Amino acid sequence: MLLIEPGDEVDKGELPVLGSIFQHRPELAEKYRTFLDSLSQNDLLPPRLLALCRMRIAQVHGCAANVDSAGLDAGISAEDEVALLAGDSSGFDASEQAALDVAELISFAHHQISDAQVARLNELLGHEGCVTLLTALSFIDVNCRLELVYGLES
Amino acid sequence: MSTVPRIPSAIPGEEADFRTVLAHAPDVLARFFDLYACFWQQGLVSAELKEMTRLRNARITDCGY
Repeated sequence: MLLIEPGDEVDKGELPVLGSIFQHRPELAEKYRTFLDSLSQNDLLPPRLLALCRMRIAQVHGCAANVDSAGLDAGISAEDEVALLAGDSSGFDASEQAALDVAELISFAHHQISDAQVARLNELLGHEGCVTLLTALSFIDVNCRLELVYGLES
Repeated sequence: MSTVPRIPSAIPGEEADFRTVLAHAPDVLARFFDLYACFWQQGLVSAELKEMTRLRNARITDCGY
């Protein structure tokens, strides 16, 4: 799963996406994409887990651009989307639940993330997986903020 | 928010900080600092302005960094 949509040109008369906005700074765009790829394209974090977190963080922000699973190709069902919107993670697996617990807080309540929640992620994902996930959640949050600041959320 | 590191340093003999904790994921660490160097050392926005906004952001988010 890509954390940022491709965008090779600045202005093609189409609705801009974050990737195309970044092309105003091509070198920065390339390094940002390469960095995001390291978070999303590895054997540590399933695409479905990241997609669920991306959708939940987008819901928290009210960032329509990332709020559904369209185009994510990550195995998110309509039932999953309904459960996510309702804040009901009981149907998700242990790693997904633990990740969503932190995703819920990382945008506006990061001081409320508890030692126990991080310990649970360490237990389920190991240090490398936990570090990669927390970094991914932080930059999903960044992407939502950028989408909103640039007016790309709808 | 915890006042002690929740994840140990990945580098023996070094204390846990942003870099040594991120080092648990070496590929992520390398690409992050490659990105960060580009962000901080290049571009039209002055280093002074970026540093001011970094400090302001750290204060707002109550981050000692």
